Amino acid sequence: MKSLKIFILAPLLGACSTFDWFAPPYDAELDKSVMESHKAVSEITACIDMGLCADVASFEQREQIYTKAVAGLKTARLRAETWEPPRRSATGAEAKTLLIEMIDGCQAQLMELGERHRKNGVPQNAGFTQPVDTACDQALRAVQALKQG
Amino acid sequence: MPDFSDFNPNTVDDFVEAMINEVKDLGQSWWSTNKEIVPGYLRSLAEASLQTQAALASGLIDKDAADQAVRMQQAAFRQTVRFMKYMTLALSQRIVDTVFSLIGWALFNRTGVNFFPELVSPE
Repeated sequence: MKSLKIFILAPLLGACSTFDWFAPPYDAELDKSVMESHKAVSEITACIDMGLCADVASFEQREQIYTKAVAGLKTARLRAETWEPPRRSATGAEAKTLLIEMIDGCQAQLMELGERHRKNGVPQNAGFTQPVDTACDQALRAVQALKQG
Repeated sequence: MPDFSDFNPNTVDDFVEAMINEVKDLGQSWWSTNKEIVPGYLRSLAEASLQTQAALASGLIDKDAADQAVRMQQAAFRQTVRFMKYMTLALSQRIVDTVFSLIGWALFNRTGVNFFPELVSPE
């Protein structure tokens, strides 16, 4: 009898659960965009950490890498915007906002770093790279948080 | 997600035991992963702060550059707080997915009906 009740109740509970999302589902395309940006960001911060991006001239050589990273993040943001939490789930909407903020946060850090690089170069060991690496790593981990396996 | 394809409980106790075990395992694995990550971020930001102090003190960077660096560090720290909040919501979603994956497999194995195709993928 008990097991029968479960088999009757489970689909009803399931119907409720599909309407209440705590976070956006995993999206492989979103993951791909942020992953590509993350790799590009790592190339830039490694260049700074190794002291190879301290002068202004080094920016031109890396401009395409910056562009690639920003392009991936812009694509990711658009993609993340498209998910709508079913039935206006408040927690789902909050998670979506947080996810977008992390993608934006990575982009904002990168743009700020790029602006300094373009105008002045970025000296090694001055505390500029860790915030960028942190923000972009968080964006990637957030996007991958619901990946199965 | 573990493989639940053979899950076919006969009693409430079997069902509840499986749910509790899965949620417990998920929570433990989540915690052991995330308890390493957040301190890593904080360590990285602390290192950045010390580098900026030393670079300013030695004249490697000027006051404006130091100001920009510490503002970037502040923004990254704020984001770390948001990250922790997001990961808590993501864990909640994983728990829901895990429990309904169990329920979905049990239903499928007993009735042949797949109520949760997003979670249950029979071959």
